[in-house]
Amino acid sequence: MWFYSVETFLVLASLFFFSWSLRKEVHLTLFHKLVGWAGFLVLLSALFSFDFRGVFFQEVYVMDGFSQLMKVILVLGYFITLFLAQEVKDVDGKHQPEFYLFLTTSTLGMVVLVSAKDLITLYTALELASYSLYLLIPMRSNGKGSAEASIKYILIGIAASGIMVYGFSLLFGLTQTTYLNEIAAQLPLLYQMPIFWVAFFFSLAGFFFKLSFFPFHAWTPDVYEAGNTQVIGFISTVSKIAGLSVLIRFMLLAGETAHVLDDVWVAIAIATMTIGNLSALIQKDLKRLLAYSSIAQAGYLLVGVLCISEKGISGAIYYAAAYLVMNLTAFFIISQLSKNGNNVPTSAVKGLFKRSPLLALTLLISFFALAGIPPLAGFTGKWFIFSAAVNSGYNVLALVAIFNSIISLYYYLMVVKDAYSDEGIEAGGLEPIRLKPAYQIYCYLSIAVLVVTGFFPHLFMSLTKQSIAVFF
Amino acid sequence: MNLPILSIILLAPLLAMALILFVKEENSRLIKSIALIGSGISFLGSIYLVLAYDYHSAEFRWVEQWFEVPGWGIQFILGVDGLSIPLVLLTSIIIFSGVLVSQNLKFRVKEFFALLLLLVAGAYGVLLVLDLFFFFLFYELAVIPMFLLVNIWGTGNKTYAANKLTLYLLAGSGLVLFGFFILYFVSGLNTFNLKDMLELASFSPGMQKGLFILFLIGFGTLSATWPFHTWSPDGYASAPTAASMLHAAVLKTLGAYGILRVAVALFPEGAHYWQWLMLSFGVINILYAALCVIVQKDLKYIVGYSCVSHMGIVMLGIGTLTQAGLNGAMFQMFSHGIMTALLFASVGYIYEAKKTRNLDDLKGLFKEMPKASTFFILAGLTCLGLPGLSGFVAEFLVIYATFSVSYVFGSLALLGLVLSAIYILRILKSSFWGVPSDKSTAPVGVDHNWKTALPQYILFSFLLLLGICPMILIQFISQTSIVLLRGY
Repeated sequence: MWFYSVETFLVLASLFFFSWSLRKEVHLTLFHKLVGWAGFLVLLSALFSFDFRGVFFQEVYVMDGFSQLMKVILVLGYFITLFLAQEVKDVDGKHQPEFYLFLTTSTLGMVVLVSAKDLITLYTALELASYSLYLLIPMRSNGKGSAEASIKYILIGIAASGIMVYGFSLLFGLTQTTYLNEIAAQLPLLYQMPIFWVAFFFSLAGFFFKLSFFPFHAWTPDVYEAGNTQVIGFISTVSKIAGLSVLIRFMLLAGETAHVLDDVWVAIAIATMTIGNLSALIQKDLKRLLAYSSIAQAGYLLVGVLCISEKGISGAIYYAAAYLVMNLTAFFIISQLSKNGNNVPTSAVKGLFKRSPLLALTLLISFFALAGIPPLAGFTGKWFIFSAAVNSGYNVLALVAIFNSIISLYYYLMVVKDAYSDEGIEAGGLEPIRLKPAYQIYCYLSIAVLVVTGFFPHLFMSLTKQSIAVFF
Repeated sequence: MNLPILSIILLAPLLAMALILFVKEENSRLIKSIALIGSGISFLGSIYLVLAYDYHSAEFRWVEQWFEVPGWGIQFILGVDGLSIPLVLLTSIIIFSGVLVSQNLKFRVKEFFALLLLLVAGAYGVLLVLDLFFFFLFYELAVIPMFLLVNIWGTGNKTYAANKLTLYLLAGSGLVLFGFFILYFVSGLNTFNLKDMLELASFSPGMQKGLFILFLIGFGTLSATWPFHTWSPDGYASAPTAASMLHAAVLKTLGAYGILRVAVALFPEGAHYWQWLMLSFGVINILYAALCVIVQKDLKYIVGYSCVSHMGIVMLGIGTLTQAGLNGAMFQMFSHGIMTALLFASVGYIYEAKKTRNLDDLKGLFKEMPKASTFFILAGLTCLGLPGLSGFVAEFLVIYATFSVSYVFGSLALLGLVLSAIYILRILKSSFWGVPSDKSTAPVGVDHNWKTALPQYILFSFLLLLGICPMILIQFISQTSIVLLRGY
């Protein structure tokens, strides 16, 4: 029965893509169809293995409610990315199998990551996830500065991972074990030692990098600008959520003791949100705008996580899932707007309601959701996170977060306004965008999901409640 | 059989909106009829509420409970009392006449009516739900469509106006949101259910003072309280007619409703502590905005500022914290809504016909368009408080209550009413009854026929009805004000 787990299917999918990449000629239409089905099979297996529970390989690998829920969310993101990447216009035809191969191995790394309970497994999984992404960025054939950005991405990523390994080695030196549970058991002694907190923070550096938290956020806009739109959609959502799940695991293992460093968490959250939102205000390129917005969104997630309460964590998971859908949809719109995969300026959305009413409506819904406007899922998630923060006594933080989301409204609203106003449309810029039927269905589905889960949050919240019951 | 009447009122505009989204843009007559039917159903529903409500008890009626989010204290629960029923009726009158006013619209009809219905669904939601989560959800739902309505169908400096309006209102709602979280946390009831909170929660005096001022400013921004009012004239001047009718009449009232429902009802000590501030805000609103009207040349700005001035009367009435004052405030919320809607509807019609809103170009309008001018004049007379029309009753009650609290504030408020008489009569004399200048390039306007005049007739009939028999409305209100003032 364990054979049917999502991990196996991801390995199979990557082998499948690997075999395609060995071919000299790739029949692209057929291949793209197969890609969609492969993603769908992986998604099915994730749903199928939702109820799997167990501990494997001398307890380094665990399947609990939390890991299985996060896997479903991650694989959902993977599936949407594959599904929407059926028209990758800016990657060379003969490199396309590799493109999907690395997406798959990266997802495999993340899926392992959320189940790992041992420092070495964690590290291996994280590197598998990261290295695949390092390779995906320069694959874009027409990305200006993509070499620069990918080198920046690799260097910052490796620096972060170096710091993380150093943190891991300190942890091992202090506790003589690599098992997270055993480290957690020694916490009452450890947390009085300053060196432990150095080790703890260093260990999180790699995940801070993934989540683009404040000191590790600088790579985000450049990489987002240089990378292929679909890959960036993937990096901004799936990879962030993987980082988030490890962060949640660490914080929950540290438990109440993590509150010792409250000031640091709060400072990081405030800096991340504020820097992200203020920088996004002046962006002219849609992908850079979404890059800064995704920095800010990660800040909101941290607000939920740092409460270390049942409410905060389940709110953060809800928000992460909602964020996955709304951000992937936003990137989907960018990929539809650009003719040959080039980047699009914010002015390119002008008159979108005439070019494709459905796409314009999708843009409205996904951007409003990102901005946290009711009754969409983004609003409900923010409500959960902020109310959890107030409930745990972080009043100032909640107020700052609320005002941050009001600042963020400005730039989201301006994009929506451009999409719906008919002023300043350049002549000839109004050729209609025809969506494939599959993409039309995707638009309707994402709108429905964002509205329904926003207005009826209890449908999803009961799932998260069950899944984190292991910890509380 | 028990019909879920409140859900019907709430869902009718939403369903109409959803239907409209699936109709082709070219089929504009169908779109307009769907909008009319959707708002008509809500209208009928709210008339039923008014007739069936037993105003001797002040309990929540027609309570419906649909679902809850376990562990978060969030419930979808609907219910109305004497405070919300008149406002539900107000909302349905305004949206019905607003849809009627917009029957001539030709530009992007489908999206216009969809957004308008979304806005009004938000307004109904705020009035009907008894849970703070959904209260806030609908509150913002009512604010956001205005951004697009102004940006697309607006006139003049519309991008600026739309941004200003949206950001001001959302900043205000940010305070409200924060207040709700604190409320949840301090009340210790683990619920956002407002009904339970009203019955069970009690707060320490310090907390009451802090929370009261938070909600006063948060909701006050929406009800255009000085100094957070500047979004209002700009916004209304740029907005399309139906949108400014709805926004000025209903959304501003929602701000005052929030103050009454949440702040005054939950924090009696806070209200006493900040009474001077409410009274000052009220008086400043009345006087400052009235002075602003006097120098305006643009009819829409005039209506916008006079609307701000009249919201001052509401604030003043609430600030007295007496039964007469609250009665007056609620009466004013209703009467001001209808009156402002009538003003905006007339201005909108005049602008459509004459393509100008400048007072100088409108000289001699009465001769040219007697019917259209008459509606404006009648609304103007309500505005200055002519006995026999509803404005008089509200203003009388509020001023009376203010004098019972303080002579200074009372006299200042009275001065404001004199000012409103000055600006209304000045407009009427210099422009409507003035001598047309030769320079005016405005086209000759076409006067109302019965179809275009219908919404105005509906609105005016309510002004007259309430002016002659105010007891119809007051019997709803007075029981509620006794309940609101229970803790005082």
